[in-house]
Amino acid sequence: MKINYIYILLACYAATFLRVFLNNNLIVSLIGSLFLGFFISKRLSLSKEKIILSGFFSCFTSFSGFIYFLYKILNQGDLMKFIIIFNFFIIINLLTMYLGFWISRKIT
Amino acid sequence: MDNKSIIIFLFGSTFGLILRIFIQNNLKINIGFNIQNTSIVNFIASFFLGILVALDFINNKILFLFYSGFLGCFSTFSSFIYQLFLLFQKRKFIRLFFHYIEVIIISFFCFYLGNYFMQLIK
Repeated sequence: MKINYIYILLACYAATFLRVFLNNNLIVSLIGSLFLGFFISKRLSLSKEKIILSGFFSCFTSFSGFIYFLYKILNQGDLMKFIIIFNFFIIINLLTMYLGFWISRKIT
Repeated sequence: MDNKSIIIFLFGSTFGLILRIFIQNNLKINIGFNIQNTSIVNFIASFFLGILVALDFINNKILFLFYSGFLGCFSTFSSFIYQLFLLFQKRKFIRLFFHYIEVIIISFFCFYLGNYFMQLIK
């Protein structure tokens, strides 16, 4: 189990550097959702699931980045724009995850 | 990034990851309705973000690294979308709608609460 935690940590570091390198909330969340959808349809062992889901994808995508992005839009004072963007963000991520799930099902 | 920045960044990431896993595995809060642990993590992260925004983290290198490293690894957007995806798969559309509205509202409440506390202290 100790080795698993080291792999989780390494996955976390890789994901964090990749997120900072890409530096775009929407792109990062879409890539994260697509690949997460792809992996959740597969039967993974508990340790692989922890490394991929908890270690990599949870660190790759950032909820605080999303909230900060929405806060900046809300600060512009346009409530309508805020509502449209946050709904768009959620819906597009949900559909992308479904797409990843669907592709994975088609391949296997 | 220089060596010092990388160390702060990695330290923040490690701490964020460990704290998230600890909360997700151990914390059980029951206040009459069901709050999932992933949502609790995101609410706490929003509270910390509110504090950092009040401290003007954009103009402070260490705080910015703390934001990218710690909060980036502590909060999780993919798990939030995954929760919505599970409800979507089960065709529980009304619950899905209320869950995501509830998470956004509570997150913003926590964010402004953190921001307000920090403004008071300052």
